[in-house]
Amino acid sequence: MTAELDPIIHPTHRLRICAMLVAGSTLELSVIKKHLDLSPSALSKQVAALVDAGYVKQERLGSDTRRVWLSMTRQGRKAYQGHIAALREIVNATTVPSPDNYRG
Amino acid sequence: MENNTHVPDPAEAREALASIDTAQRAVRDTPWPTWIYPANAFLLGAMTLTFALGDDGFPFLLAAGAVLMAVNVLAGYRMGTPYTLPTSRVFLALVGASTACLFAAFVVSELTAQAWPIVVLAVAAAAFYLAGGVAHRRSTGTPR
Repeated sequence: MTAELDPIIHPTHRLRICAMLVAGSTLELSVIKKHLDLSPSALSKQVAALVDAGYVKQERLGSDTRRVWLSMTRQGRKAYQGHIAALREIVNATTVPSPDNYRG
Repeated sequence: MENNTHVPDPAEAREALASIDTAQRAVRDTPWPTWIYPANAFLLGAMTLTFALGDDGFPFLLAAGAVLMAVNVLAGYRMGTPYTLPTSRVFLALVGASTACLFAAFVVSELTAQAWPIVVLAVAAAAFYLAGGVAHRRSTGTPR
């Protein structure tokens, strides 16, 4: 896995959508909507960007076609993990001076 | 498609990582319906009890196991989160203890023909699960 910021996942709402999908494997769209402060159209736009990139699979299961289910694809999971690793590298690169540095 | 990625500074990156954690916890801690706790406790107890029946109990063990899985997957689909693992460590530990009672009943049934240790383990399996249910409900709150 390469630590690399992904331009598709980078926007805050998409990052949070991916994070939820990684935690939940398969989630109904309404669950994601409940936890994001987004209008239905804005949410659809963010999800569409992830679907178009091939990072998220969108499907309707069973007889209830009103319910939309989302899950991460293998490609999406890989990109997400790379993005998280890149964020961690940025955070870890911040050198916090330890108390030992001040000792003579 | 976006081509230029704004590289976040450490504070922004830290904030993004924190927001991920919050989002994941929110999904994993989706409240479960109240009925699922006694239902699961009963089914786990029933699965444990089947070891008291000897070899005749195997079909009942399979049936109870299948019902347990079906109930949880269907409830998960109804909630919109079929495969999420709760964050409550107390709940997970008590589910582990409940499952350990189930396996212990298997071992006991191989060692002795007496039924009472299996009954005790079945009660313990159900009790551990119910205690875990209380911990889980406290960590998630009630469903809306």
